[in-house]
Amino acid sequence: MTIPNIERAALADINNADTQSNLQLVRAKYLGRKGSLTQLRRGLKSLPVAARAAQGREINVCASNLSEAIESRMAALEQSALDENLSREALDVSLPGRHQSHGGLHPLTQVLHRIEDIFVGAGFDVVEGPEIETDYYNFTALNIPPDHPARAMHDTFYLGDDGNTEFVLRTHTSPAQVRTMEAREPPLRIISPGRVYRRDSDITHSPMFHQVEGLAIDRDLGLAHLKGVISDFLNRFFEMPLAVRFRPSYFPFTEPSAEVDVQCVHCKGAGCRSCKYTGWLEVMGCGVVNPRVLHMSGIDSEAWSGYAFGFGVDRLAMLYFGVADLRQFYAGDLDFLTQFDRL
Amino acid sequence: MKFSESWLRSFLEPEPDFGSERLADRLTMLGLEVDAIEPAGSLHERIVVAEVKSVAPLIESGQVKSCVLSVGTSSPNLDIVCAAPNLRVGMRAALAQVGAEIDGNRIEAREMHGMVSQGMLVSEAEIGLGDEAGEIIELDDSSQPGATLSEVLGLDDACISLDLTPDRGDCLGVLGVARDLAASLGLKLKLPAVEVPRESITTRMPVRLDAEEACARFLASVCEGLDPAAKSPLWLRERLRRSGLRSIHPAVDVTNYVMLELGRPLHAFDYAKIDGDLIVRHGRSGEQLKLIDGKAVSLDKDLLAVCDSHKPLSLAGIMGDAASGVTAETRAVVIECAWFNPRLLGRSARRLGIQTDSSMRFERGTDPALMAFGMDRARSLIAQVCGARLGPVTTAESAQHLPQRVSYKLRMSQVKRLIGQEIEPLFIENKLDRLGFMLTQSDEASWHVEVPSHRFDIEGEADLVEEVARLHGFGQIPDIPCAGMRGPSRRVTTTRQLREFVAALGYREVISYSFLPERSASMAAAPDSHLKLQNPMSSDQAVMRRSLLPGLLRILAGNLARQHTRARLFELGRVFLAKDADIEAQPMRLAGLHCGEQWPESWGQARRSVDFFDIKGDVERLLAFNGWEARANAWQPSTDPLCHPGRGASINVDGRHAGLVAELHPGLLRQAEIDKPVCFFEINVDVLTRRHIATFEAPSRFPQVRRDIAVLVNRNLPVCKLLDAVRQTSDERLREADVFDIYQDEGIDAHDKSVAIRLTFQTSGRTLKDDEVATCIAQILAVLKQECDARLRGP
Ligand SMILES: [Zn+2]
Repeated sequence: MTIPNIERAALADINNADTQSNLQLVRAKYLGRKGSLTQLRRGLKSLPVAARAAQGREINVCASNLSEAIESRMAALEQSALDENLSREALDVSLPGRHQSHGGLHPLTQVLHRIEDIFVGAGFDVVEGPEIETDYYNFTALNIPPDHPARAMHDTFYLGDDGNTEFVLRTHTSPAQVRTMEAREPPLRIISPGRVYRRDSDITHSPMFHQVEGLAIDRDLGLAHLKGVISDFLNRFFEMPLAVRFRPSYFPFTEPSAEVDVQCVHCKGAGCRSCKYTGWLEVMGCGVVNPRVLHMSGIDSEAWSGYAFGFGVDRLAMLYFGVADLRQFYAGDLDFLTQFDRL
Repeated sequence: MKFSESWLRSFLEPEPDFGSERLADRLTMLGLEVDAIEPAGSLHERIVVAEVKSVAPLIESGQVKSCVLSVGTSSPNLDIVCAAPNLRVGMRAALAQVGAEIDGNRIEAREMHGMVSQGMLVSEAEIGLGDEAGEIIELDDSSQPGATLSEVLGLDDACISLDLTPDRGDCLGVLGVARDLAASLGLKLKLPAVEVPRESITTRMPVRLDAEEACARFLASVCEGLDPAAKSPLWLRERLRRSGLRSIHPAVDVTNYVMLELGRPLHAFDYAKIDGDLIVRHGRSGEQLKLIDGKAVSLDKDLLAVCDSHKPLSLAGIMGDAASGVTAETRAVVIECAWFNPRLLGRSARRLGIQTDSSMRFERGTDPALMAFGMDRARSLIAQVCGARLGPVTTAESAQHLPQRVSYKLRMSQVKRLIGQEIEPLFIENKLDRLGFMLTQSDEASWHVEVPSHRFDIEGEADLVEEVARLHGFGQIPDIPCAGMRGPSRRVTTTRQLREFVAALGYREVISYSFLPERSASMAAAPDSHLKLQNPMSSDQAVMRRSLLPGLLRILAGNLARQHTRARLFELGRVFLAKDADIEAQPMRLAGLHCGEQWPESWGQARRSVDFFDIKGDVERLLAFNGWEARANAWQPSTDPLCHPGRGASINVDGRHAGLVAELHPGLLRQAEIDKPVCFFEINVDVLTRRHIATFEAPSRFPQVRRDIAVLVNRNLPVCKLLDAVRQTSDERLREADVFDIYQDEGIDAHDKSVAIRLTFQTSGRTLKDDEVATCIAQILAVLKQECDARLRGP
């Protein structure tokens, strides 16, 4: 065979080799020890000297061409073998991943965190206090002396031996504020969140619930400052501009005192079941701190004044999430709790 | 406090020219919150006044009669059949004509006893105006035949219910509400005109005070000759009805009426039942009262009673004794008008658990200056309604025990400061004056203000400012924005981080009650160790929890019952460790549990139950995340009975118990009715709150050298002992020591186990040499041999 013929046949064989091993066989057939080109090279000795050089060059060029073609073909075959292997390793990526179950925070915790964030943003500090309180901190220090009719508003749980009225489950988180007033010097801005207890149970009352009470003491703080803070808070909390109104009311620890109504979040004030068709929802109580309370906590009421407010976290959570029965928050039903993971 | 709107309006001059809604809004914005406004009633327009022209028996010896009625000159007379005993010629009655509707039923002409009745004469009960069902309604003779009953009764009225705050005892009468309203609207307050008939009898009721602190003034007056046929007039009964009270007896109705009108409670005794004088004194042991509501009360020295010379007649200010009360047979009554100390009366009422319309008013304070007027109001009405003859009023009093009038200084500056806005001095003077306060200017910037006797809630200058703010209107006060405070003020919110981290580990937060049933509380702590509530709402909430476990188990059991097969739950909250009431020992705890399979059921994971090391791993991650690296020696076997024996560990930090990790004891789970294994942890949050600030150390640039050793030790030796011993060498070149294999099978003595430990050495200043590392390992092995009887395994 002539060299060009060999080269043509070899290139065809290279192209036809469909696996890496077949290609190795092709390489052996032409370039191996017994391969066609190797044999031709061995046959050079038998050629006349004048023809040797030309023939030798021709063989080398052919060998180089074939080598190159084999390398390139080999690379292509490797790539397709890899591709094929990888395609066999393909996964159904739509299957779910391996993981532990999803946890989550209780809706009341989520709402509380929101509330804390809003007030912390306004420079309020967060304080805590004991849940078993003394009568003094829960009532007397808040201007509710023994036999005061306002005690009846609270339906208190008493602890310990029968007849012992010294220790109560706190009925509000205000005692934590009294403790703070005693421990720190004004100016003060604090909120005290936590569990509170009252003897009441129906769809809007639970014997244990959560409150946030706030207190600010500074030079010349009055009703107008209080109104500003509360309106701002409610608008931020509900994430919409809502009308807020302040009605005169009564709390022993504030004077003047007000109840705060917010425009119904469900009907925007048009009237619906949630607001009993009044367009308003009662959400908190507040007022200017009674000078007697400041005095009892050792703060000079001539130099300082302040405002206080308090509201139920559960109540805000019910409005925020549209939960109708407060007691569901405490039942621990996973089918209920898992609905609140998008706050 | 509930009353009719028209009653309230009758106190105002001129009457406000706007409707119920605005009136209610005004009350609410004054701090007298309107809870509800309901229509006073609604009657069909075909129910009209009819004059009875003639009456004839319809069937012999029967009640049933036929009568002819006039319903006005422009309409023909009507024939009606009626069996009411009080039917008589000349009376004005209420007639439901053909076409009238009562409760949705249409009145039709009906044939009765051979005669067609063109309508029906109705009783109060039939049209929902009262309890009287036997007799038909009898109207005033001035009622015009043909006029609708609705018009005659003034049913175009509303019943207003107020949700009063406890400080506003003065508004427990229509007068008090009207006073606030008049001041707010700038109207004149008009008191009812009272004309007391001349005293026509001389019967005196002697009275005496034996407990002057509790009862400082007592008025009594005898009214004789009550007409047995007298009935409360319809207007009076209607006002009572619109206040939610029933008509009982004309004399009792009058006392209730005055109570509602003036907020002044009165009491009526049957004069015939009183033996001797009226004495207000404390009870004596052995004395008993059988109250009107049937309840028996044993008196003692703390309970105040109104008595005659021999026996108690009433629980003073709270409720009367049934035997001394007014009945249908009563022909003479004694009206009591007393001032009882609010604090003492409230204490008695609470102690006995009795609240009445009367006690509620006394408890919140009654106006001593209104007593004589209230007494006269009642006497004049009894004379008018019952035809009674009046005796003189007798009085006993201890002036020093009556509330004293008080005065406070009110400064303009304080008004501005507490309200945050300047208020006109003229406005302040005008409004406070209308509320009954007496103002005298003490200097340019302040007044001397005397509090009226009807206000019991004013205890200082701030209360006066509140009055000003109330009448000014909270809506008129501007909102001043809150200027932010600068600088860091946020507490270290460890609890929030913990909650978020545990939730990220796949636990679902729950909130359970801090109180538990005694039975389930004792799962986690000795039965008698719990702090008890004195007044729980139910036995399910009887004691304060000492552990978060029972609450979590209860919620778990509930979810298992709702077809969940697996749950990871946590709670963060306080536990209460003091057995006796005390404010100490209320630490915050974090607890979690895992029940069922370790992994959610999935195509990609082998199924297996959760075990101790799963939950211990969670706790280790939690501790590490909070900068608190759990050292091996912190974990000790726990003997807590709630643990599976041999599968519980307590965590100790600096010798203090910091928490527990365990597979729960199967017996405990059986008790909680849970049929799957549960792993549990509970950690003292205070431990995690303790912070330390990390000190930076530059990482070493020199290579680490790792060497593995395997030693044989007694199979019962806790691995943490080995690691402790390794670290004891306290060679700073040893950076880490970790157990990476434990083997206790073939080729090893049955008493032994093989523990493989990876040791990592490094220094910060240079590369370690091989022989240096070998020396270190030799030292470590020597210590292990000595401390743990550990033998190097292998050749
Ligand atoms: Zn609404």
